[in-house]
Amino acid sequence: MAKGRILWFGDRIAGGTVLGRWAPAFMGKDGMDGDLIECVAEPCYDLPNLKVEWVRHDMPAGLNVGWWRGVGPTHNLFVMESFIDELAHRAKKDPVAYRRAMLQKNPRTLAVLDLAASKIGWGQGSLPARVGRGVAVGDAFGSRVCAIVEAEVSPQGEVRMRRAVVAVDCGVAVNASSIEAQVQGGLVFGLSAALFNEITLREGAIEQSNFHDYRTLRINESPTIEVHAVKSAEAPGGLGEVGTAIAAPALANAIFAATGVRLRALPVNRALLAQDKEALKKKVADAALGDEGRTA
Amino acid sequence: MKRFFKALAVLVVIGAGLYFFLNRTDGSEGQAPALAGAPVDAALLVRGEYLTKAADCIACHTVPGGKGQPFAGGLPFVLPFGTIYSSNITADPETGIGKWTDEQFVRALHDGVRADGKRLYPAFPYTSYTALSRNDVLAIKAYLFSLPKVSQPNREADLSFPFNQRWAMGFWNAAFFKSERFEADASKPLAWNQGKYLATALGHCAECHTPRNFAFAMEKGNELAGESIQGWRAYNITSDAKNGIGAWSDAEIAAYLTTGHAEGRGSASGPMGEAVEHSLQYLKPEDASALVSYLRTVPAKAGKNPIEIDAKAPWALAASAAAPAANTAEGHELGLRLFASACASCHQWNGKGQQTANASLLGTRGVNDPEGSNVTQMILQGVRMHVHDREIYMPAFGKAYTDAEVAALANYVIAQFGNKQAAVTPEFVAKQRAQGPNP
Repeated sequence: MAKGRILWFGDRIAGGTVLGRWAPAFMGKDGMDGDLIECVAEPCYDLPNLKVEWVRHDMPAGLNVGWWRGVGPTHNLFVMESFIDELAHRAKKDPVAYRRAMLQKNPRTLAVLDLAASKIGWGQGSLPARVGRGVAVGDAFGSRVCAIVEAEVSPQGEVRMRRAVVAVDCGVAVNASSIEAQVQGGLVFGLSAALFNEITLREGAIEQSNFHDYRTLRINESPTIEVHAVKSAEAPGGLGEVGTAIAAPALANAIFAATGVRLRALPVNRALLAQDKEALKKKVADAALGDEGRTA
Repeated sequence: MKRFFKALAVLVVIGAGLYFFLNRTDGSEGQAPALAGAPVDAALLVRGEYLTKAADCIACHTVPGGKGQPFAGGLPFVLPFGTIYSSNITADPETGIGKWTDEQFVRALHDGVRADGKRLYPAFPYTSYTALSRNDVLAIKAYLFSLPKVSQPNREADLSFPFNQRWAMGFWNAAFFKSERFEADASKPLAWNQGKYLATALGHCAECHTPRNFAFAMEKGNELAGESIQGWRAYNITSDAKNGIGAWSDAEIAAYLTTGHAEGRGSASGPMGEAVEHSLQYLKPEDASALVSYLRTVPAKAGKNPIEIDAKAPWALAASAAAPAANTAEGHELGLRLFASACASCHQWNGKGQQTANASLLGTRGVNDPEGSNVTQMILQGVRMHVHDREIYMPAFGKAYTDAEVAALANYVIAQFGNKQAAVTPEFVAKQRAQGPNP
């Protein structure tokens, strides 16, 4: 970084390939899995130097992985947008202004960022303690999306989302209410995953069996979600998955704004968000023990 | 100096004499009242199976959840001073009890001494089984020996000093245990005697329900007045009308014991659910009513932290099945929200429950206990038990809900359905979690 601007951006992604297992004919040049690097190999931002690597590490036999709705962008946008947020904080810049500066050559994405920021009233008024807003943008599935989530974190670490505003440019808008429904549904699905949807293995079996241990946000837990579509004459882009892919980074950045805790793993470890620092230390130690237990 | 040694020698002799006197075995065979399910003239294995079920051996000697072979042991008991594991009581000669003689088996149940002469810990309820008649003990042995042998080595106890010294249990026995057979009370009806034998020698109700003293021994004269065990409250089941089950009808007690549910009184779950599932549901109706007739006469005691039942909690009465009343549940926003998401569809807002009678909440001790032990465990662990070809199921929410969420939900449930101000904290929930399976 120089004066807070990014000079070089590198990302090394390690993971198994779904494409290679499921549809090997669609693997890219030199055996590259285009799905695994989507949204970071061709980022929405103007980055002068970019290096993206993929280290193939497939799961052992018997633990086949498949696509999850939102595919590659779900993890890449979380990494990218959480890190951009972290850089903005390091540069002491407003997260929206920091992104704006890097979107000057990308007017469509700049437009969704500006639209979402103005609709939620970004930078206007003040928020109560332990309430924060998080922003995330991305170019995914041929559409442009910006989500801003406003979340409150209780002293015990419970996350309550108060409000979400999403702006999309999906090209020509054919059915306005379908756009709203797709984005709302996708966002709720993505927020559910970000908050709750951990899959754990014990004695060779998946522990989760149904919705009591694989939670989905209920209507009384969901934020109000406003969806704003940019008037556009561009070619139509996808909408089914953009809401899912943009949800986690916007929530994680809101949690950072509310608590100062930077989350680097999903789902959100709510034990890390408790206000009591002594309790927090203990919980972090316990969580580390728990992780060891899982890998053992 | 010489006098000192003399005095010491005398003290040692007296001490040793006392030790051996207090540890003396009762070699009598005992006479058990014949049970409807195990008549004297029935085949040995028929009697053995019924008695083995009535003694609920399988509950401790099998790892639950389909993860262990029947009677092969291995179930951990997490105690304040370490962990012990139940043993393999199949007839496997190497890892089980296949080489045990009748004498050795009888000595284990009557005196708490295993075949190699080492003392057993009283987690194995020889303190109750000592009252079994020799005939009944041998019928149980014959039944166990008729079952498939399982080769599964026992796990060593993991106890800290001095609790890992098995011989030291001799002192505990000297102080708190007496080897003696059941003796019928001729002044009482036969059914009462049968019920007492079922409750004490076989069912060992007291092992969970009787308060324990500083040395983890059952308090004499406070039988069945209630205790906490493994994060659950084993309730007061004395004849006390307010704090025990004195106000329950005979039919209610019998239904609770043999089906796991008594309308407006409660539903068995946790360790009691296991007792119903593995043992009590198999009682013949005559034996169940004999058991009830004995429980009726257990002296009334208030017990520790008595629970006051409010079967007409105002918030629940004001609610409909489908929605809480307006202006209720103030201060319980999170708990109410969680109840709406995860609980209301089965338990309903008025607590009447649907789909299964077991889902009804009003009048139960769980929701009336401001400590919230059992409500918390229910939320964390759920229920899965088979009783009379019915599956009784509640999902376990522990995995996906945080300590703070479970605490908020428990406090709300106790307010809504028990009309009590509870103070369940996330820290308490964490402790409860640690006592459950797969913490």
